[in-house]
Amino acid sequence: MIARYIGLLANAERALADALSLIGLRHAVEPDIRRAAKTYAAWCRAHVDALDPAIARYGASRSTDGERLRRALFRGPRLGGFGLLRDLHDLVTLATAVREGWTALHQAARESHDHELAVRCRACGEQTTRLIAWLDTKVRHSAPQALTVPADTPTELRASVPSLAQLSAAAGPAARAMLRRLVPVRPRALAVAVALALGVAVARRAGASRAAR
Amino acid sequence: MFNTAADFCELYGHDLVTGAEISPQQYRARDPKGRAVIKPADYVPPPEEPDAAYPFWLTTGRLVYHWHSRTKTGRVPALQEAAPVAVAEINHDDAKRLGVGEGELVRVRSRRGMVEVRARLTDIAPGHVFIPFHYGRARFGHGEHPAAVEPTAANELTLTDWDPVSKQPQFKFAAVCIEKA
Repeated sequence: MIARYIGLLANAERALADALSLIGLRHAVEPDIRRAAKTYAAWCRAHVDALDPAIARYGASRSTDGERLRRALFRGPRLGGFGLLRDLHDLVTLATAVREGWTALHQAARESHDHELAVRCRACGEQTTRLIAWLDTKVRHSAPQALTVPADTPTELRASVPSLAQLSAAAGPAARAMLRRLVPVRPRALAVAVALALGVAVARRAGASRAAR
Repeated sequence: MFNTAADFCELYGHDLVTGAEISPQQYRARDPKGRAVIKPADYVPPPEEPDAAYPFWLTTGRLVYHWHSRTKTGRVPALQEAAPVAVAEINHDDAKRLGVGEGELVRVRSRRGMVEVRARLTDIAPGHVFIPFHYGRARFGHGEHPAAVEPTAANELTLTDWDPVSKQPQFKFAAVCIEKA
């Protein structure tokens, strides 16, 4: 059973890291969000590494729970102040799921007299609590303007387009997730569609030149 | 005694690393009751450090002759003559390696912008460059038209970032490269 929770927690921490990278990219126009998202994504990845000794001892079952929760959240256009507020709100949900995972594993480690795992669970759980406290602070700071001042959608739309440098600097999964939101089909499907369209155009031109001859 | 008692203090403070506010409940759980609060914080590396492309540490600051953007001190002839133009303080050995002489025009670039200022060779630590922030883009005090523009604003080079609690901007460090203009 411990192995199931270790797998669940590793998956949830990875999902939270990806979500933070996505939010850092999506709201790159806000320098403090960009910096904080990068810092906290690194925290989450370090938490996954902190599970290594526990995985060696108990194993880890495959879990997709965290990933499924991430996919259910962060949907739709998230532009400007209102979009940032919605993303912060969703991050609270995902981070709270991660923290409860650490709480549960911490109790199991204590029951199993695994002092090392208990210490790690407590440290990672406390760091996740600090992340949630930051999210709560940001929600309280951003909500008044986001919910009471009319949005300037054209400006928000322009500001939401990341630069090429930001895209290339972004983490792989987050950048792909962002591209999927900008382009409503998967990049590979888009490449296939472009190739097909080009093929049709070339065939038509060849047909037209044959007809002209 | 300090004004830290939970029933008397004016704010509960912040997490120094994240900037998250400490809640009343958290503060009350560890009520200092008049004792000083000493907060530890993990080391956080700067957002950028010198590398092969931008090998110098830039730090910005003041000159004794000017105050902020010189709106007053720039109009005092004695002060303006003492420091009339923007300079970049560069270490003697670094300048020799770059082939830059005293008073020569150098271009200092970061990932965000560039300035063109006169080199001043000093004993500043090797690998460091200091540019005062008093000089903006608009020239004045030289008899030119006030709208004339020259690239001497040190903050074109600095990061757009700030401390999460104090909101102090991170103007004191940035990675830059230096070349002869």
